[in-house]
Amino acid sequence: MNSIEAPETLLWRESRIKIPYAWAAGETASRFFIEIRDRKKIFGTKCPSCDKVYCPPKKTCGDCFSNCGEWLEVGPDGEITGFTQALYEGGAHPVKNPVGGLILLRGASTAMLHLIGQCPLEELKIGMKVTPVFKENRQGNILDILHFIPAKQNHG
Amino acid sequence: MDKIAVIGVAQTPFSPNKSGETYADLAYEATTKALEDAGLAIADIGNIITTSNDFWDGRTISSMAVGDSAGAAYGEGKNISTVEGDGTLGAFYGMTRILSGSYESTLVLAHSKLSEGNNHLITNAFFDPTYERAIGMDSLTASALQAQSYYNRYKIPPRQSALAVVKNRANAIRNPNAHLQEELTIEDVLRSPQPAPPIHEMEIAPESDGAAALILTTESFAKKHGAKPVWIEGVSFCAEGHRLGERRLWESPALRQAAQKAYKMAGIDNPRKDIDVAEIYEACSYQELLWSEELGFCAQGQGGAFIESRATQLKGELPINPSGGCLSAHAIIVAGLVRIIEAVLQLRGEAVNQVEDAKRALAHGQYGLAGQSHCVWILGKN
Ligand SMILES: [Zn+2]
Repeated sequence: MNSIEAPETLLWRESRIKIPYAWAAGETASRFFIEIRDRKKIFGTKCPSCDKVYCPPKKTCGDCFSNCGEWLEVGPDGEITGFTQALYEGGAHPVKNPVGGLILLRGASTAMLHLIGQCPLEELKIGMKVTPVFKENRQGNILDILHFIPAKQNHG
Repeated sequence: MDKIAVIGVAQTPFSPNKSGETYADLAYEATTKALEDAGLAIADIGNIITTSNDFWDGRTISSMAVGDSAGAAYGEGKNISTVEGDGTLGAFYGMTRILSGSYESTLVLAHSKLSEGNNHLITNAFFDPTYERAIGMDSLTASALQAQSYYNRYKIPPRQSALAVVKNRANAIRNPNAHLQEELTIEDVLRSPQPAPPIHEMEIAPESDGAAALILTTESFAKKHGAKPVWIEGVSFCAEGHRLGERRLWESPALRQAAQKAYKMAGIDNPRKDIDVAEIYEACSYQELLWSEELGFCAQGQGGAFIESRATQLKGELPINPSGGCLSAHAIIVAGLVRIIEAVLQLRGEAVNQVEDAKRALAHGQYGLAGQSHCVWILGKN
């Protein structure tokens, strides 16, 4: 009997996994997105034990393991607490070479991961004031905010 | 805690594309080598843990798919259980199964092939689908946000994180299992492009294919089989919150806590003095600096000065990643298990870059975006 020898060439089976999902946003995120969609207002939730204001809002404060029952409006302006740019091709990028930023909205204690626009990377700074640009046609998702832009640009 | 021994270790060589081998082939290679190292047969193994991630394998229940290659179908079939996470977590679970009293031995296996999927899309799926995923970030950009936060907080100059690359890739030259082995200068590293500023291309751990396995046993089992044991003196696993925007990215409370708990178990007061060698999981160069701080090797904000002091070089006071670390071979999932394996080899006196008279070693694994969870192991010779 012949033993198994390495073949001359090796083969791959190429395919992709594509499975539709509908992730429930839940009561908290649904309300957050509806406020943005219908009124261009941004809300956070407050933890009753540590007073931390979560934005994006969440139902549970992980630090205190308690229920964040109170809603309050935050922002819409805020400041950048971190940023980077994806300078490579990526199938998940919503725009070419997206600048991802952590945005701490006025009155919030936690930062929102979002896009920063209309400012070259070299000019961005931690602590820079930013303001959101809302999309014209809002669908009730996180990209109803198109991106955040430096606040001074908004006022001329 | 009852004494638990590591009596067998094995890893495949790591490379960018192991196209001649399937996951099952890699699992079989690591398992048989670990059994051989321990002087055991598959019949001797009490239970099996396999460690993997379904997204990287491109299939569901990826851990069960390699079960028979790890010996789970042998005889009447063995008890097999699975962990989704870093290999250090698989080992942690493997250890607790022995401590439960149900088993005398556990084989822990980890495998992954980063060449087969798309790391950007897979790690984008780490993000919350409702609030965050559409922003398009991934594990690299998450690390970039952490690096920026850390550099900015403590004014770490880029040359200090580049030093981790220079050191580790040079250490890897003698490691036949490493994926990247090269003599580099700080300038080479800092001249490489920045795919996600402030991180340079050469500061990112490579995407590797490979597998690793180890065998854990009770003290009596180790004695009965005449093995060359290395002992677990302390271990802890801690996690922090998930969202990047809720974390203080310039520090790692989860690692600090895991380290302190492991030190307490092992009776370590001064880790810098009491530990002879450390193998830590750095997915990007800055992490070696930041993790050094949280492991208590230096004060907060001093990770850059610490590596610059040459204390972590092969001949330094506390060599870090003499194997070349994850910057030289990085099969996610497997990478943490390899840290334990390299620590065991150091304590046996069999490492490629052997630290003289190493009696106590630290191994560290992490899992999640920007080091959300950490597992710290203290291993000893006696
Ligand atoms: Zn709270």
